[in-house]
Amino acid sequence: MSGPVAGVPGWRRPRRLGCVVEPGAVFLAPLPTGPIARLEGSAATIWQAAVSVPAADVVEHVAAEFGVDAATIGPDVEAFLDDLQARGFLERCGGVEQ
Amino acid sequence: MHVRLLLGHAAVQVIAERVGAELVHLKGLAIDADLLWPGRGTSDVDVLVRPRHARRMAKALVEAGWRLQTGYEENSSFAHAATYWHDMFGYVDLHRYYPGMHPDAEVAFAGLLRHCRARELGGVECLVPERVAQRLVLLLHAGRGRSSKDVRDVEHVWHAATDAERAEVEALAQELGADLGLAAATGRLDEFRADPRYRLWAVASRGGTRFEEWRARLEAAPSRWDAVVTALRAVLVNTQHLEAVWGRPPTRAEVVREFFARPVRGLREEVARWRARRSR
Repeated sequence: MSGPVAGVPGWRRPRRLGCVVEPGAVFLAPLPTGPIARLEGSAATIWQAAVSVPAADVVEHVAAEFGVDAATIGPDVEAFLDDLQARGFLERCGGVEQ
Repeated sequence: MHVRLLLGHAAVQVIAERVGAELVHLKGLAIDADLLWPGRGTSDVDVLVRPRHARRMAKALVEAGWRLQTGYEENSSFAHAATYWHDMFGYVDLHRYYPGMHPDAEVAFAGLLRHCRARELGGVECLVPERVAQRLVLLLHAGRGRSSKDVRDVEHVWHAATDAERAEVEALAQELGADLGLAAATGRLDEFRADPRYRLWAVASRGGTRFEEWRARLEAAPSRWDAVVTALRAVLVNTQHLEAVWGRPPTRAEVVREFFARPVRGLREEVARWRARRSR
């Protein structure tokens, strides 16, 4: 995962969120209490894309991963990103801070 | 299990940072994978806390949902670690001292800290021993055990190492005051017969009766006060152990019965050993 780029709006893993990436799955846990959440398939792909590329590129990145049209999956991906944020699995970043 | 353990390391590190406790993550997933022989599993999180931070770390673990399973005195002859359980993250062994290192636990921790580096575990940066120190940590652990796992650890980490790697471990052991522990692991324990800790390591690595173990603990006690405390604990019933074995807390009557039964069992062990020696 390349992480957020300074000055570019994006997403990042919150500081106190434990994370283990395995083939095909991502395990996340708010620390130190848990619970441990398991993301698989498209969910894992979206999360990994979110913490790797600028926010504006996430939908394209996921669409390319699955060989589908970005416009078709865009609204669902954005909604899922909001859901991940609401659960504490992502937080927005951008501007000059990391 | 692998995922749970990694997140367990991360959770414990977060707790430590919250309360200002310094930790070094030991063994298991903190070790370079090639220093573990193929198939060697790990089932818990082991951390060494700076001794003067041990109390606050123990309190913080409990406040974060870990439950004490066995206390320091009940866990081993060295009284070095307490075991906690969390429904989500499993077991953590909180070490306040690592047997085999310098007998002053604060000095031992400071020495090990000089040979640590950062490693991300479960997404959180943790301190783990450098490679040479990892070898020493594994050997010190194997040196006070007799299981096939311990034998294989010594074979993999020591006998299969190069002369240069062994020399590095010996040099580090000397620097950290871990000569005796390394000697126990590598079959040279008898070179330390004059050391007050010798008998304790002999019992741990070769076996012994309960009386021999308690006698060894008394000899190894660092101060007269520690020896008095150890002697008093020798007569107390280990209710935590009974609960672990029976799956329920003992009743008052059972504790009283056990109080009188323990010395009888101890005596039977001594008589059996004496008879075995005579028949040779």
